[in-house]
Amino acid sequence: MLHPDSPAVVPGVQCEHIRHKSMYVMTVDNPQALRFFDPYDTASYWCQETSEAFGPDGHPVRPDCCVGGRGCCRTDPDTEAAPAHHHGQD
Amino acid sequence: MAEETMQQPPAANPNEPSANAKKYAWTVPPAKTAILSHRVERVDGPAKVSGAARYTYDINRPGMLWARAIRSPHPHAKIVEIDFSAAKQAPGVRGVLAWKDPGAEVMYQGDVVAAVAADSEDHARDAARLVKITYETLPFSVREASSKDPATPKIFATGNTRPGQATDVGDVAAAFKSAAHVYEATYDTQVITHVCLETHGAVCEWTGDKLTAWVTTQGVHGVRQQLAAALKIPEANVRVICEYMGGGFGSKIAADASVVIPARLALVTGAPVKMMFDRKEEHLDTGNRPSAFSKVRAGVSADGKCVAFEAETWGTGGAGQGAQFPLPYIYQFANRKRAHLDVYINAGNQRPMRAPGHPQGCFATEVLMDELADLVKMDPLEFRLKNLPPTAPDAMWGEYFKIGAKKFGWDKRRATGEGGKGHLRTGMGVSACQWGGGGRAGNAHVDILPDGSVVVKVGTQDIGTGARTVVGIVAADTLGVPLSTVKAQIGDTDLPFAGASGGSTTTAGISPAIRIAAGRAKEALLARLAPSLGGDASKLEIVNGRVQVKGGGKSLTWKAACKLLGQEPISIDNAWEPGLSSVNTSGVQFAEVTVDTETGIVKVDRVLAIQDCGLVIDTLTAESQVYGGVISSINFALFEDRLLDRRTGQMVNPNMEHYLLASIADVPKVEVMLMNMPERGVIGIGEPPTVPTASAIANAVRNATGATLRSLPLHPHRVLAALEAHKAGRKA
Amino acid sequence: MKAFAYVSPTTAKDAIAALKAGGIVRPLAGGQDLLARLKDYVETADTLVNVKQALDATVTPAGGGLKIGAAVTLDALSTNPHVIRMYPALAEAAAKVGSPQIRHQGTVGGNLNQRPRCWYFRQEEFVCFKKGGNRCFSVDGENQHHAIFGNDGPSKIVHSSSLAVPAVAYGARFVVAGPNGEREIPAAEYFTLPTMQNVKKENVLGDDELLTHVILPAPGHIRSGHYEVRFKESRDWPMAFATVVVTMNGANVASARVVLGAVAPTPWRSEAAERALVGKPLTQATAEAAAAAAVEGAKPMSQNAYKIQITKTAVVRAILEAAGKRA
Repeated sequence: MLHPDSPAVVPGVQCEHIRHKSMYVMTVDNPQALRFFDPYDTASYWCQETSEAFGPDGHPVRPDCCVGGRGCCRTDPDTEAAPAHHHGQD
Repeated sequence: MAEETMQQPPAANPNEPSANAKKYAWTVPPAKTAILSHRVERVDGPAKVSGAARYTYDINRPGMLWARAIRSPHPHAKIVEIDFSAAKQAPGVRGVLAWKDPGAEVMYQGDVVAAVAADSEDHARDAARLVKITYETLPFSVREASSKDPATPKIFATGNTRPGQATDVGDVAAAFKSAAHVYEATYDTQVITHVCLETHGAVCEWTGDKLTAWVTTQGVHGVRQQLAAALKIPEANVRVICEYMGGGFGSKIAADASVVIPARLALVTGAPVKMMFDRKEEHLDTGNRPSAFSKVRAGVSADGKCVAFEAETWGTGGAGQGAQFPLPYIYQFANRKRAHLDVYINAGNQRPMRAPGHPQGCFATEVLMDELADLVKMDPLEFRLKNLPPTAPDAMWGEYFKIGAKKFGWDKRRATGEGGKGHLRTGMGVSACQWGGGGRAGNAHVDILPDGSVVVKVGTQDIGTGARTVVGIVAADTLGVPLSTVKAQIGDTDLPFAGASGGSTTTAGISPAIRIAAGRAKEALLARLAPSLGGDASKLEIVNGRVQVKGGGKSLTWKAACKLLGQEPISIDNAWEPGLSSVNTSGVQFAEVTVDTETGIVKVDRVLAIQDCGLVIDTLTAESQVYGGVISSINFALFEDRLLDRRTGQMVNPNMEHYLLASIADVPKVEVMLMNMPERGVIGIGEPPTVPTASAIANAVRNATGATLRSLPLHPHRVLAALEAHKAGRKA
Repeated sequence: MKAFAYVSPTTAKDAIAALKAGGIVRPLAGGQDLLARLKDYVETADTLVNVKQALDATVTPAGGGLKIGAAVTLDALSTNPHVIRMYPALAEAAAKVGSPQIRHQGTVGGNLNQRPRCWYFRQEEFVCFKKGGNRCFSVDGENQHHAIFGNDGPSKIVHSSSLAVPAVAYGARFVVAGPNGEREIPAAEYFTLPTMQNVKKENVLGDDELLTHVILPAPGHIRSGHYEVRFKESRDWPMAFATVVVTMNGANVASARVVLGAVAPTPWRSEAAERALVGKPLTQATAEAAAAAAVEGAKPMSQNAYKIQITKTAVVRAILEAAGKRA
């Protein structure tokens, strides 16, 4: 059975800051098991830069949006992280 | 073709038992276990009921400040200006923080804009109200129907809707043509929120460049990584602690504003900062279960075989997140077609919620199954048996339906709509569930110390399931010592890595590592003791805390034996290995209800839950998971409903007064039958029991009254309307 | 919440004097309503006057009836043997309020004077008529719990007191003490339908007055019944309810009081239902006729028409209880 939270996030394609539950909840599948329903994706996504479900540009975080071409997207694993964006005021 | 040359050899079965798994295989009947699978009370029960257990809410640090978020009152607006000047002058205020900058948009009521830190919770709350934020309000939608309407202006940058995964299997058109009956109906379930008793929050304290964060979370290690990423500091500088936590249900996996804000404000103010959301913030901004609408067309043969299924589905996961769910659920329609649309509204985004997607798909499918059964004049249980997948260890519904029918008294069920003559009608319903629950991420460290102490360290966390007790049981049972000998340490990133507690994976993820580590530790201990006990370690055993020669002879108490270790303890680490755990479970539930036809009030009289989860580690805590799941599902069926004001877009019931939850007196008799399958190894149980209850209840209402409830929750106004429609239909 | 001064007088006279301390002054008894309003910033106060010691917390016989102090807790009221025997509907209404914790803390005076539970009123963001605003959000909003009677005025709330309904049905009088002494007000005249002038209040109690006692007249040969339609078993509000008090002339009803709760901005007396009962025996058919009469003239809003059926049921069941025939 596919884990029901099986998002289509591919390293190098989607932004390195996109996050979803299956990155933290490690599961094991049984490839030989019967499938009792069709594949679907319930995942909720968030951005580890903003700590919310919107990217730094305010648009939603999703595998279809968090790809190259979006200004805030980082797909190159060798890119150094941008310096800390300090919101804080004293 | 490139495809051919790129063909991969078939993947090795990730569940193939390792050598260690074979060596330290679980004890299976007829062999007896000392405490494994017994009814063991939680080791931390006394700490919890006495108040000694310290939850994040209970953590207070010297000089600690309180943080409070300032949130958008608008469902959609642009931030024009954030003015902290008055807040900074307020009593006790020590720091402020802009979470979003002017020019950014807020996408729902409760979207965080800024935060303040002050020397008391009251001061923080008062000061937060003095932060003056100027907004330019923007068009919004808080109804799925309006977001779906092409006439509605574009509110979301990525569009108001987005097609989800589609399915097209078999020849649907031909199958419908061949069907003896074709049936159409629309089903829907509402948005509900997680309502964790302990709200989201954290206490963050910096010591130099090192951060300690006490966080109410489902994953200490994941929060460490996310905090480090958000703050741009090395993960090595972050320690996350969660000794006790008051519920997450999926909403506490992300490190959200409730964690990052206190970390940042602690940095800005140079003092420890605590932030705990209040109930309203929980409802608005810590996740929810998406709504689910299913417009279904189904074809069934004259002899009751499901042949064709076609559905248009949609739902909202909030302001940009999806709302998919499995459909049809479990029952086999060979020919099926489905199109799904994610619909965005200006409301808080969804987060995983106990069996994401399953309760929604289960509801539409299971209510449909009862309607189809009537169409072909079959008992709904017989009809289900006819359309289930073949029975297998991970597909036991057919067996469980039969066992349950006998136990529940299904033979006393009357035909649809014949639930009695007076205003009180009774009826029965049934439903099924499926889940994965195969974890693999747990590392365990076992110390056997010279004074006889056993310390087991696993960097997992107890989200209420009894993980600390599970750690102790597996280690104690493997070592042959009483549970009280084992000290389980969990909930700290200083402990060996374990995955986040989600997807019902915790027990299956950690138990194999503990089993093997404890097994190896026992072996090492016996090897060290052998010279004192006859020289042959293979002839030694540990039974109930005594180290003895098998079949009689010399023996030592546990303490005396461990003393022989001198100054060198036994210290063993092991990771998860395949073969001691598995994946995929099945369950069924029966419900009986009484419907007051003069008020529309549904009372659930009793529920029977039959559920497997592989090897049961602790019967008592496993049953508790089922009780909790059933109660949650009763809430989903009858009470919970996130209601958004159609005119202002604001939630009208962000509390526990008008957002209804069962009180103790609303909880019926729940009987649990755990189907122990020790030969399958450990599988999780947290999620599946919350899937089927709601549909079984709706089916029971239908059985009692003849009125079909295709929409949750079963608030009296819906039940009365359905009764009215049923009456009108019968007259027509 | 905003910081406030706190005074704790020991006599009613001192308490009433303290109400004139200046600024916004509110009497505090069990605090089950007031404290929540303050914490949620629904309102603010400069001074709270603790009236628990100043007000009577006893139930005493008076003229064949009972005199109930405003500081009597709901739990004490619901378990008082005299109340149970003489005014069972009042005891039952008190016994069903909220939860054991609320009933042990909450008082008779607090229950009768509590502010609306309307979900708009209870949130700071919604500045409705009752908070000095210029609209009632329920009109084009979510009104499933709102009024089906008496909703022609500016505010469409339902009165939230469970005790007010049996109090009106039993013909109670409320003793109100103010700077100029005491006055007695029939319960039915104490609660007010909203007008643009009085919309910020639900009754005639002045800011410088205290409700000190509820006087219940000698019951004589009355029979009473009370039925609350409750979705949840506890910690919830009734969706609609009714108290019925009748006197009999042989097998037939001589006089009747039918009062509905949770359907209007005040306890809602239905004279049509009363007329349907008088001269008739207490049968199922009479009860149904009275219930039908009770909901005549109901004006449901966009989402609360279901309350008509629920109200009818409450009336039927309350009548049957009065007849000793509760299903």
